[in-house]
Amino acid sequence: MTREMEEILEAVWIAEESGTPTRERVRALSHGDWSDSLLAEMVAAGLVELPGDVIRMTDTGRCRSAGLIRRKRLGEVLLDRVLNLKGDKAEAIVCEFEHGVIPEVEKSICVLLGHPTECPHGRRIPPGHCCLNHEVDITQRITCVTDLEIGQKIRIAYVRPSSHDMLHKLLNLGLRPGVVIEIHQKRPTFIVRFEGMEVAMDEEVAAHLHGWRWEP
Amino acid sequence: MLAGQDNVGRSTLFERLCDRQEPERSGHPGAIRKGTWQDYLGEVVLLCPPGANTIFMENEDEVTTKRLLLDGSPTGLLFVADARNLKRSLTLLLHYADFGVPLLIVLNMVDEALVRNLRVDADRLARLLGVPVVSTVAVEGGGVNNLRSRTGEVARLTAQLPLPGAVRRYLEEAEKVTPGRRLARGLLLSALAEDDVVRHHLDRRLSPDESEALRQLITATKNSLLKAPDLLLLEVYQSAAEHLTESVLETTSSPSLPLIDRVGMWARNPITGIPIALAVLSLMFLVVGKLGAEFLVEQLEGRLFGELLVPATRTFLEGHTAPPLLVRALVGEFGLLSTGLALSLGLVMPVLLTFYAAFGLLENSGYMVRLAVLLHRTFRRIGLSGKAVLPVILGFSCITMAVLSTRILNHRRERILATLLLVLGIPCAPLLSVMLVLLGDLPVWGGPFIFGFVLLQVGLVGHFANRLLPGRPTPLLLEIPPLRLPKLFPLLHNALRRTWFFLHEALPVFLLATFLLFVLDEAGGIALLERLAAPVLSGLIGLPPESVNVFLLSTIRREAGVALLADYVHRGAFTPVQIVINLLLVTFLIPCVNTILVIVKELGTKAALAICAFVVTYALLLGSLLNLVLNRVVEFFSS
Repeated sequence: MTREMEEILEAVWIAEESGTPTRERVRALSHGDWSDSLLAEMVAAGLVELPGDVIRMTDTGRCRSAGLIRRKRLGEVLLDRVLNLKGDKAEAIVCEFEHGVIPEVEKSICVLLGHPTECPHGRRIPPGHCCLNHEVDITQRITCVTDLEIGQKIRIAYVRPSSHDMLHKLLNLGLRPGVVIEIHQKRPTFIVRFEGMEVAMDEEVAAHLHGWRWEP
Repeated sequence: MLAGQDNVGRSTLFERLCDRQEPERSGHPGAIRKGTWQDYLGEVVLLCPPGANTIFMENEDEVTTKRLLLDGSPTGLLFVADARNLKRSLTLLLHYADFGVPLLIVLNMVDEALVRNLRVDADRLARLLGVPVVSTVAVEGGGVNNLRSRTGEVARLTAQLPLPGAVRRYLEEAEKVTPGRRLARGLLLSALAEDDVVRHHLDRRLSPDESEALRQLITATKNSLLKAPDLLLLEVYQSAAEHLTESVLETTSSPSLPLIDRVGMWARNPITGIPIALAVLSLMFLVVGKLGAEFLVEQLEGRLFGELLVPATRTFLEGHTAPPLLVRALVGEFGLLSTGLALSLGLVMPVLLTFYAAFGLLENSGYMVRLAVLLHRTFRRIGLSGKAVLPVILGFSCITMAVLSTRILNHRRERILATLLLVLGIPCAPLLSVMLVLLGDLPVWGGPFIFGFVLLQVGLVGHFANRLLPGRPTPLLLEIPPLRLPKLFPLLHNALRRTWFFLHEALPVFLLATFLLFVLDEAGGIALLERLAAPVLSGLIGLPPESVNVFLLSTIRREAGVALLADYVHRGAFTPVQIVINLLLVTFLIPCVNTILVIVKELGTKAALAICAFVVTYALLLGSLLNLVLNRVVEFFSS
């Protein structure tokens, strides 16, 4: 799903909250590009349906849209209540936030904020699994690969190597932020598996990789 | 030009495509291979540089490939992509395509991808990129004819790379400061990433003013970027490759691990891996030691040469009253037939052939890397880490080649250490082959003692050299290719080819050396040398005078020396202790001429002299010591 599609899905959600999501209203609410071909692509991707003048989300589309809205509004709460950032600056950050934040972090923020139900503008925040389960502990925090057990997975958040050269090697192998790796072996060397590839590394190299524990 | 990463079947494809190949010098790593085939339009020349796995890393293999791409002005690029890991291949492809060379994608190993439930939509990939895509299974030759007939369809990539704003502006500005040059985007991007090869290339193409303007522009752009440009561009290529892969890759059902992948996992796990390693090494010993060194040698050297050719020639010559000098030159102690040909073809060749077959199996199956993972910690103790395991294992094939392959090590420290250990302790395949034959003549303790001793001293020397040399070992970071079962025919074909190249190079030297020894012997030089060397050899090290010949021949080719030793042993001139000492000395003492030349070339005269001086002194001291100790020990046990 492209960013433009995400913007439209979000606009449909907001339009739904205050009435019928007609094409005209969605178009006015959307921040991204707008074209009929884009809508057609979204229909083909199974995200929306177009009965008459209305844009209706499919189940898949609604699920994606809820996630986007949830992240956006959680971001607004975080910036408003915790970081005390308001106005245009906050708006710009939130825009990036909703598209960039990975689910593992989203959950931690929600727990940190005490499962807020409304954004600073008084709009409803779609609840996540953590809200329904009333989770109070932040289980998700950045962990180093060397602290994991065999079989556990991690989504790389950052790579902090000893040298530019090492960073280059790691990135060239495809070990970059966002990639989910699985620990396969810790002795005699670390072996991680990702994207159908296996890489062997010393413990000191593995210690450069940090990320979020990944549970599908 | 044929390019791609390592382990994607480049070499196999090269061999399949070309009808004729220029004899590569026994397949030295890092060399550009050249081959040709006939097309309906004429002869097609194909160049194949070594595999490049990274971009902007500037290791030697990558530099070779990029130089060929920029300065060799190829008419087209056949890019071998791995269907099993398309994303990585496409990252490299997008980078090369940026240099504006017309290309064709060879999607190799589609069969192995299917086993892993991965299906690449080749047509869609071709449409998205605007270049032809041909699927192949190189090991079986599948798709190769199709590929040959389509090489003329190479085309420039039409897909556009999404670039960050600052980089786009840099490109626009760069075009303005180099008016009319129409530089390929890849050149400008690589220049921004401070790629030295590209920078030199541009310095030659641009006027000094343009170069300077471009340099200033690069500095300004770099200051405006939040990230190092090389990392930023790597990210750009990787994301584009990821996006492409997502649109063309179909994964069918949940990927359960195929059996071969599970075996691959067992092979690198210490609990299951060590028994597997022992089994593999025993199998190797069976093939090389029993089939090669015993059965085939007996047939060739013993029967063909010893019982048939040499006696027949002698009878023929003597029957025709040939001059005694000629008889001696052909079938005498240093005869061209009885020694030169019999030893090289009868003794070295069969063992080498079986060794190359067994070695090829380890290499092509991807088992070698797993062995490296298993042995890593052990190697770490002697200052070698990670990748250095590969040259050391390769050392059992040919030291010269192994010294060349230390290029894959990124640091000079590790290269010196690896070279030292290679020269000092690793017997190369030809030497090993003759040693294996000789082991049959030794008492039971001989074999384990020699190999145990070699291992022990590699460990000790490595340990101390590791402490003495400044710096610290580099950490391991190694991709493990999927395990695969190599096909029998290509394996044997490759072993034959390697043996052929070896003989091609070594046989003339072997014969010349034998002849020189013969001349020296006839002129009384050997007797003189024997007298001169007697105090050291007989006195200190306790070897019989014949060992002078062994050492003389060894300097030219190690295995020739040991082959001569084997000959003496069969005639009963050496005691077991003398054989052991002599074998050890040849293993340690003398790197063959080829190796010395390569070390000088790779590490410089100073390092080469230091390594050689150390090895010779060490070996002489060790020989004396062993003579003293071993004889006592043997006497003690026999009394």
